[in-house]
Amino acid sequence: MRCEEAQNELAREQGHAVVPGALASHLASCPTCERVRRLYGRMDVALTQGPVWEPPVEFGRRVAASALRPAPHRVADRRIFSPGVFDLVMPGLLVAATGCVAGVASDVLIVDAVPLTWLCAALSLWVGASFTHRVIRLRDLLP
Amino acid sequence: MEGWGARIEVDRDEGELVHRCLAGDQDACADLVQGYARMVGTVIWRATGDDGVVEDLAQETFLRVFRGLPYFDARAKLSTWIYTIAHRVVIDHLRKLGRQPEEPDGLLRDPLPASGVIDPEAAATSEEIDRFVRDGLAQLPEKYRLPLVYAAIDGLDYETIGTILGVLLGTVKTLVFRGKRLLKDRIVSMLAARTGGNEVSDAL
Repeated sequence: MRCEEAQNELAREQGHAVVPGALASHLASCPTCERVRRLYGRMDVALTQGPVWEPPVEFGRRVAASALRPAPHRVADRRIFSPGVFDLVMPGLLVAATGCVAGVASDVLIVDAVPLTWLCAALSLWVGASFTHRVIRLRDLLP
Repeated sequence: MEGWGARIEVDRDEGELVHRCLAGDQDACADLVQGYARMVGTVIWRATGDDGVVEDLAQETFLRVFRGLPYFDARAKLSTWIYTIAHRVVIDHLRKLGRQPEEPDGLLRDPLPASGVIDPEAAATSEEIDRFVRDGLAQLPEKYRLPLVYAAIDGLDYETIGTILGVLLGTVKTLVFRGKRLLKDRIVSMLAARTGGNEVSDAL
């Protein structure tokens, strides 16, 4: 076994208490790799002995209370962007808006389609922005 | 068989707990927080290395947990889901701090130190090695640091870490392996600097 293989093997080991046969015989004859093994062992000890957090008394109760407390600033958001209402209203709103615009602008359209194009672009932007906003909000909610 | 039965019991209890939390039961919410707070706080502390932010970030984690609870997939493991949210809170926090160490040049191209390694036990005390590990960890890119830190937490197995990080089991093993090698190289450099650049010394 070459030193490179031995040291790669050591990096893969956990605990370094028991080493496989080929590696053990290499370590017995190679002081450099033996030092690397000891260093990995010390690293493992230092890493596993890291700090453990103890929650303060009443932490659970305090967090639960704030989680269940209504958040007034989000109510308006939820009402407007509530998925159920939004999904129901949105397609109808779009069809209605397009119909109104087409009806009102039918005369104009014959002459110049640019205003309607701009309106459609604005509507598309708004729909895109709304969905992006919802996705960003859902990102916080879903793991 | 006993273990399997116990697992089903735990799942049933978790499901019941989630159900009560969703119904707005404050005691159940407090129980859920109390049940996972220690691990969540430990994950946050070790990932940020800053005990001053642990309580705030743990609280933020649980607030996100409660917001997301209606979307929780009952087939998933509640603990893993909560730790995943804790990890995201940590990532958001680290991003706010702008902490994203650069990937070092020549990373892993030269897996062996130039010649050898100073005997760690002879060259430094246990406390010094601990400090070198802390300092070395702080310099690692998050990509390697977080898997390495999580893998050292008792109770987090590689599979759970994979779910938390959103990577496959094999990737977790690779990241931990590379992280350890990088950290070892950093510590070797620190030991060498401490002993006046004397890289190899059998006498040490």
